[in-house]
Amino acid sequence: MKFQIEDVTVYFPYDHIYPEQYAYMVELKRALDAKGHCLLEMPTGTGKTIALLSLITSYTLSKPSNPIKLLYCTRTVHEMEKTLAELKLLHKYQIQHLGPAARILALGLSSRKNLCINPSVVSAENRDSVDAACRKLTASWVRALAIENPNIPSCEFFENYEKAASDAVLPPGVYTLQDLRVFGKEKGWCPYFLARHMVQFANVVVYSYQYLLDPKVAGIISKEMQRESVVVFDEAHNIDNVCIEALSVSVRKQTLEGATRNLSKMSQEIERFKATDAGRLRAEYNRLVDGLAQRGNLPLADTWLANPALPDDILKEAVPGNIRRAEHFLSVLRRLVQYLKGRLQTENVEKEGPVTFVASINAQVGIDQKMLKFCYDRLHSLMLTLEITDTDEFLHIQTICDFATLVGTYTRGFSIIIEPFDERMPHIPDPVLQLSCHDASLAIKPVFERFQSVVITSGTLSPIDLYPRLLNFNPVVSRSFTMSLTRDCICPMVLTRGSDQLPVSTKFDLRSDPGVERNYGRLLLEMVSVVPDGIVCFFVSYSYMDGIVNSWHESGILKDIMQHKLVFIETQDVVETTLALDNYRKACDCGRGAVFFSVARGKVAEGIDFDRHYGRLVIMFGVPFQYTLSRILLARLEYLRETFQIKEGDFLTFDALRQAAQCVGRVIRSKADYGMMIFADKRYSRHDKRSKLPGWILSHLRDAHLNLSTDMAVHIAREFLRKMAQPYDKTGGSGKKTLLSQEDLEKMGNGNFSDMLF
Amino acid sequence: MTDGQVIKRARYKSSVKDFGVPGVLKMTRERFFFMPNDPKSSARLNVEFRLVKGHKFTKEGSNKQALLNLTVDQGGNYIFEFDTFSDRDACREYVATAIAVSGEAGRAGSERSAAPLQDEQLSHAEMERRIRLLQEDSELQKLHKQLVIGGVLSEAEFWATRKKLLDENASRKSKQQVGLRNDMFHVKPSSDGQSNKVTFNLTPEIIHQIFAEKPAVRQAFLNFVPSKMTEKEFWTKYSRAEYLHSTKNVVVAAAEAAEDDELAVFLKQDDMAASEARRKIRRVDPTLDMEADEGDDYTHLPDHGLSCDGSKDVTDSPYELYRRSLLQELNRHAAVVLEGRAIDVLEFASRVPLGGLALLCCKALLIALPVGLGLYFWAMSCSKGNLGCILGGVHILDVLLFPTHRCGVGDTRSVAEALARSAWTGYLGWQEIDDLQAPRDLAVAPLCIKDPRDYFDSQQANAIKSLGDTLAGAKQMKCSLSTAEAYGLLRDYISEIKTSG
Repeated sequence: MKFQIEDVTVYFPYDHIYPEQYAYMVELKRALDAKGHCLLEMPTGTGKTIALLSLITSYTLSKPSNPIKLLYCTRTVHEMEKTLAELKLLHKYQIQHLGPAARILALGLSSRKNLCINPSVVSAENRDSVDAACRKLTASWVRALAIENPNIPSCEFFENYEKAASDAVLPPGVYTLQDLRVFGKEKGWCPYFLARHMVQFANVVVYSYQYLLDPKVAGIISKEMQRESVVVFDEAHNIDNVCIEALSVSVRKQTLEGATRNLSKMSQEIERFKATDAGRLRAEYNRLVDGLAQRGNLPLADTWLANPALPDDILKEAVPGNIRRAEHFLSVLRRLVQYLKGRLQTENVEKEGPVTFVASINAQVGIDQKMLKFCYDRLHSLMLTLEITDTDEFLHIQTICDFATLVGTYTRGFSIIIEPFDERMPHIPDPVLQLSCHDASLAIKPVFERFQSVVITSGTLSPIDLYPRLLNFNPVVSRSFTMSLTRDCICPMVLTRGSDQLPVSTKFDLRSDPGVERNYGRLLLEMVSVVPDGIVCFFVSYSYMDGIVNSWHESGILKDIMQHKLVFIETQDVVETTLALDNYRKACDCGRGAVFFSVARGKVAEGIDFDRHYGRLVIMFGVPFQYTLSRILLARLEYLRETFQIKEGDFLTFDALRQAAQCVGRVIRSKADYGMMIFADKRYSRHDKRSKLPGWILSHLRDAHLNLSTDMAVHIAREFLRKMAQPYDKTGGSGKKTLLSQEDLEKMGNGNFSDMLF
Repeated sequence: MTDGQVIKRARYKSSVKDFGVPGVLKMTRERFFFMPNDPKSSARLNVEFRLVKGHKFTKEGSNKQALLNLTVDQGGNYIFEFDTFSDRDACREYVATAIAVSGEAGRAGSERSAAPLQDEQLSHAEMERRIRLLQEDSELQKLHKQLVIGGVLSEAEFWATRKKLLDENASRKSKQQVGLRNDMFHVKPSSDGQSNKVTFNLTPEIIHQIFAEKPAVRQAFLNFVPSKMTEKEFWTKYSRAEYLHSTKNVVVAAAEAAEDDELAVFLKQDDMAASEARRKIRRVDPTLDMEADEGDDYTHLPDHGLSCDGSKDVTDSPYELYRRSLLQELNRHAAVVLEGRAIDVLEFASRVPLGGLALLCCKALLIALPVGLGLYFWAMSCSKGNLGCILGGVHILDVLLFPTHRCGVGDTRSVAEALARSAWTGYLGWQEIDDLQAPRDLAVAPLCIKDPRDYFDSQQANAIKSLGDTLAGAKQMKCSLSTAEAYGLLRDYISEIKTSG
């Protein structure tokens, strides 16, 4: 369908539209008009993504003189694929209606691991080894050698791509990662470098958060994006965590040992070069004297993870004299590693700020702040000079230099925490030194400054006023939409008591109580016999899930559950989890039915949808609080209290509830879908916890459902499922309209829209 | 029977005990003749089929005669003995059709319960299939009674429009499989509490499951038995490994494994399963592929980012190899169950004659067999008692390749619904929001029920029956779910038809 929002003609690929999608588009358009940032919360299952894509592409189409680029950030690769699939649908529709004028180039960008088509490279185990394997074939010096010596292998796809030079372009269209690989195979061009190159010209780029937020990656990939871009962070409820993770580093014993090995390897290399090619080292020295930490524009294949510090904070000065010579630099690093080793031997937990830490380094091993700050760039330059291609071997020293650069750059918003052992396992020595960032606004600041509009959106952004404070920005639009439902297709419940009427909770004192475990088991057992198709269970942590599943297994509850449905479990092994998910879907498809056990904050909770028959019920066992004794968390809480005046308790509850809401929100995909949500913990019935849930869940949480026991919950579930099986009028019938057609939209114009909705 | 007559060697007998007169039996459309070999014999017959009321025959068996008994209207009967059962059956079928034809001609319009035939000559199998179809489907039977017996349609005409039903029905029957049991057997060791002995009970089904879920054990069985050890030793060793696992003492397990190579096979993680997983992951739906994320995740460079929620494992590396979690086993089990099985093991095992004789020869076969993915062979059956006394017979089951999805739904209608749904999920997938778009045309023919009330009654009865059945296993449960689901979907259709006018 096609409709007007003020001066923009919106092309929407469906015959109908939800009123909240329309309202969402209106708000989004205002933000684009104002060239400002916005914060939009809209329930899951109302088609956020398609509304976003459709408005932004239509906006560009109706203002051809001033085209804006869309940078769409997703958290995971599979969300990237999903987004691109929706975009494909939209693009097809726009082409149909506008003809070739609507052509755009849209592509997903990922790492070499996901894009490489060279079989000898992509077979490597993880991302780093794929990167290294690629460098071994494509680094400029390797290729130079390969020209002289045909025995040195090179990558034919990369060579073809280079040969095609400026002809190597992607024709307009929408390219998923799979499409890119197919295109690359057809043409014989390397899809990774082609995509990297085309990113500058594409109208829509879909990639991971980190490509914008993590300075190490953003520095090489998102450096040249134009200001006239709209950046969208989808499913952004965890954006603050991504930000602080991007600037955090931890150092362990193994890291230091590896770094020591790396250093001796490098010094061997230096000796070798001194003997054979002393000119090279001298050339590097001269370049550093001239103040060029970087060699200017590197060939695409030589680029590397960029400086871990934010672009604004990187000094544009010459590298300090005392680390210009390669040997001197190595000895500085050796001293640094030695110092860190000494610090790790501590018996007590230590916590300090970056300033004291740097002062102590200076006092003890004579490395000043400026030298620390240049560590990363200096290392990078040295590794290029030494022509090191097996970069995966050198990750340890790279980590040390990341750490040094960050600690030398920032004086506030960070703390250094040294723990001799894990709090939960005090008998196992596992010393770790962590540089943790507390201020989420640091990493996202350059994004807000560089780009015209930044859209932060998710199904769970409650309380919506907290995010601007955490991320330190001023949104021009900040709205939370409710969901207009044709029928009550979601049924949230708070279960406080088990079948024996005793309270259930994952609170610390009740957590390992066998009674609670049994009650949770009974709850699931009752539910699997009532609910059809898929059921998803979320637990508060891996260790808790492991414990409870074992205890269910021993008590035979698991066996009873398996009489009704198959059981699949998320484990820490990604391959296994992916296969388990795939099988889970198969089991739901064929009607056998299945239960999926997962972990809040885990990978599955982050990005897998359990819509339609893949999830008719979600059970959230417990409140997913973070591990509150963690020093890092405590330090962050302290920082938040001091800088933003956010109370510790409030933040913890907010964080736990957004995770819980995120978990349960995955069951709904559209208004024709339906699902139940059980919050199984007595603490959810308290007002201070419950009120942090997003509005669209709260509005369906009836007072009668706030304090249930297992038998009552089963009864409600039966009733609900029976009700959902009845026929209903999809358009909402006589009351409020929940599905608008083109005529409806035309009829109401722009004037009286808000009356209709709310 | 194409030439319209049958000629077989037979003996004509006046009674069953009688030795009978050898001769030739010839049957044509209207009548049958018996010509004795001895031309002087008086036992010459020439009887019209019109007079024949019915026929009886003996069951096929090793020590029985192949007899055919034709009863005549007047009360007499003719007994023929044939040399082989196949001769007899040919005649019997011919007689059956001939009686029907002549009966139809003779008493046109009169009611008869047997399916009347006209010009079409049906094989026995075909008849049986039709009868079974009528028995299964009361609706169809009613219709058949009304139309064919009421004389509106001929038998052939009636079935001509339902050819598909006949074919489909036949193919469906052959494809329907009994799935694997949902629940995981855990070999639970039992100890008598007095001595230091622990007893494991292995049944054929458990062993089958072990082989399916742990390809490494299966491989080990093929490698070790019987060249290196006997079956008893093999399973004792396996049980020992299981016991070590159940104690969760990794250090002891590692120590034991170091001493005994064969034991180590069971204690180590299953490499074959792991490589199979790596192979499978390439075919996974890209929207589920979490492995791809790993490749894109720069914050989790080793030692970057924050470690939260104790997600890091304590890895004391030398023992890591011997750590195996229940969670993994559960996933593996569910995957195997979902893939289904080739044949019903229990049923098969009950038919297996126990005895050591078959053991050796079959073992040779077993080893010679190539081991493929879809190859389900079945190895042995142990006694239900102590592991100690294995009376195993080794048998090889069919080599079968099955599609991984299998609808275990009893009702054809639900099958159609399930198909419709899977077609939807397949095509639309996650790409479209279903209720924003007009409903799509389904690839399958829409469900058409003549009398909805009848249909819902039967559905409800089904649901109640399977709900009430407390002993209902996984399959029963599944049926009730899918019918409920089908019911919901049906409601959706009706409402869609309503809304679209």
